[in-house]
Amino acid sequence: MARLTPLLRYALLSRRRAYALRRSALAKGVDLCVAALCAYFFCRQILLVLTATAHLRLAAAELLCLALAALWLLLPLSLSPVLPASLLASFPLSRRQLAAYRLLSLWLDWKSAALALASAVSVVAVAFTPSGLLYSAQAAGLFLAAGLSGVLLAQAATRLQSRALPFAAHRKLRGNPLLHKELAYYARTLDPYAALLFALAAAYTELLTPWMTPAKALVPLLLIALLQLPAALHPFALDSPAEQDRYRSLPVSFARILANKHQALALLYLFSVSPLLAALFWQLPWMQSVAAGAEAVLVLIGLLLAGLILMRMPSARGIQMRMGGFSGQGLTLELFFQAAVLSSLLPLTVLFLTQGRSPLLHAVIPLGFCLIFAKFYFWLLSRQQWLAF
Amino acid sequence: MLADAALHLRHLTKRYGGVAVVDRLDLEVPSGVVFGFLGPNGAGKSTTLKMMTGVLTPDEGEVCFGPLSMARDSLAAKRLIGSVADNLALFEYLTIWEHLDLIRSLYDLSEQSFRLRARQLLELLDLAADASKPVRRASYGMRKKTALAMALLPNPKFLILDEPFEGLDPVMATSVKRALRQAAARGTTVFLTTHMLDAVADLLTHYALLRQGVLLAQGTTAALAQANTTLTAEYLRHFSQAEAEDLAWLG
Repeated sequence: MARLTPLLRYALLSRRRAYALRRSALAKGVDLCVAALCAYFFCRQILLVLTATAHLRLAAAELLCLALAALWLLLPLSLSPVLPASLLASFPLSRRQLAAYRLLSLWLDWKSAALALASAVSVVAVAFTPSGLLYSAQAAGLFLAAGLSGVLLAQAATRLQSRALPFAAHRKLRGNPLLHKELAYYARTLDPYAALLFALAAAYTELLTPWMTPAKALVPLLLIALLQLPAALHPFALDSPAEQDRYRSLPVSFARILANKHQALALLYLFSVSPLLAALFWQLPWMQSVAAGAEAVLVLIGLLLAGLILMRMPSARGIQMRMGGFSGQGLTLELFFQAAVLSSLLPLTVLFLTQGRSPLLHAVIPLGFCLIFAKFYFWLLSRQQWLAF
Repeated sequence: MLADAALHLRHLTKRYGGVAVVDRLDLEVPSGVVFGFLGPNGAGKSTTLKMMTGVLTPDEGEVCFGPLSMARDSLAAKRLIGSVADNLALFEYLTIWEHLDLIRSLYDLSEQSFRLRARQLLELLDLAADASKPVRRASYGMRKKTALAMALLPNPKFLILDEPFEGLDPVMATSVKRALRQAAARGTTVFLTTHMLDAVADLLTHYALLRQGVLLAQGTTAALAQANTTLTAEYLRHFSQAEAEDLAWLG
């Protein structure tokens, strides 16, 4: 333990400095608000348990437990070991000491400490409901299962980062090698897979109890597209400075490089949205299915147009993406709202124009807009010049 | 002014925070030579090479490859160049083979010539067994050789190489030197920076010395030989330093 103490002290110092250097004042303000809200709800819950336990509704407790379990699932993905693994391996520490450090370093982050506290309070709170002990054990089990799944998910994400490429040597790559490169990069982030999970969930609800119309389908389509917003706003976020240098030295125009990046994004968007579209095509009449398909394309065009328009803003260059992780670090609230409004403007306009029209116009109007704005997108793309990243 | 100059740098200037890293550099390099661009660390060599390859935009001046200006005809000029950058500029998540295939498509090489050249280069650089290895898992030497293979593959008119021999073993360095010498004999202009003066003394035909972004001297190695001196002696004459204090506590 004596050896671990200075290590943990410097890890804490390193985390604090990284936080101070990387986070904007706005992001810190948002963190503070979230922390204050969490503290308020936790205190309220403790008070509930102590003063009016009989009134605690099980349904509310279940909802809270599920929300906390979701956070446990995501926590291992959002935490880093603070000190790089290669540096740790070079220190004269035994395997047991290294394991102890990894375990302890998790608690250097206030998020994990807060989550553990909230979970403990929840487990105690549920114990006060009728048949409480059983529910309490279930809640504890749920947190444990979610936490372990999170660790497994984090390991899978690491593998996603380092997995070997499935291409044999000395074999010509099919298609466009630049597109292949972009796909290999973007497909290593967790964003398309999170979007796919979301689309699967939406498709499942639709198949179970049909509820979507082309208008209602716009909500999940937009949410899926927003998961790919960081890549659209900063298409070079995954490329190191050396890789960007290679792009600049290649005899290829910036527009062509960008077009390849957008093609890769479009393919991943279509991949992630495909279960939802399949469910819609299965459930809706064919004219409405065409309208839903056209809306999916409109959402995509809106996303790419928002990327083209906003990518030159200095704040867009602060966006960070990493292989095996979720993107969006460094995305300011201001830029997020601007991009969200811009990318949803086109599909929402079409939705407004098709209100109360015949099924035929429901399909024709979105298709017409797709053609017009695709042309506008290609015009805007052809005018792109190199950015000073 | 050289009549057969293939590469012109005219008043090339780059400033960072008001400080000129490269200061009104004028240079003319004939075709078919191996040109050593030499100087101590921080002299501005890599910055000059980045401006030559279009990675950086000069604040003043221009780079011309024959009639093509990097500022005005950048795509056409870049088609004439093969380069190795100081950071190697490789895509970490692509394999060595995929890097070569990328060059094939961007330089419009025919399938037949690509296969022949790629196979020969991989064998020359001893990369054939590791062609399917992602670059991020390759050693520094392998990464350097990948960048070299990418530079040589399209058979460019100009090879612009930043420290091409650093990280290569002596056998490999000899093979690469032979390849560069042969390329120069067939008309390719090789422009390189290096600190390994003894290793390249037999390769260079021309040289220039740079200090703090300013050209100090230039000439040919043949002239040095006639004056009964060497490139290393010439370099040390310009960049000699007071003998460092003995670190008595060391060892």
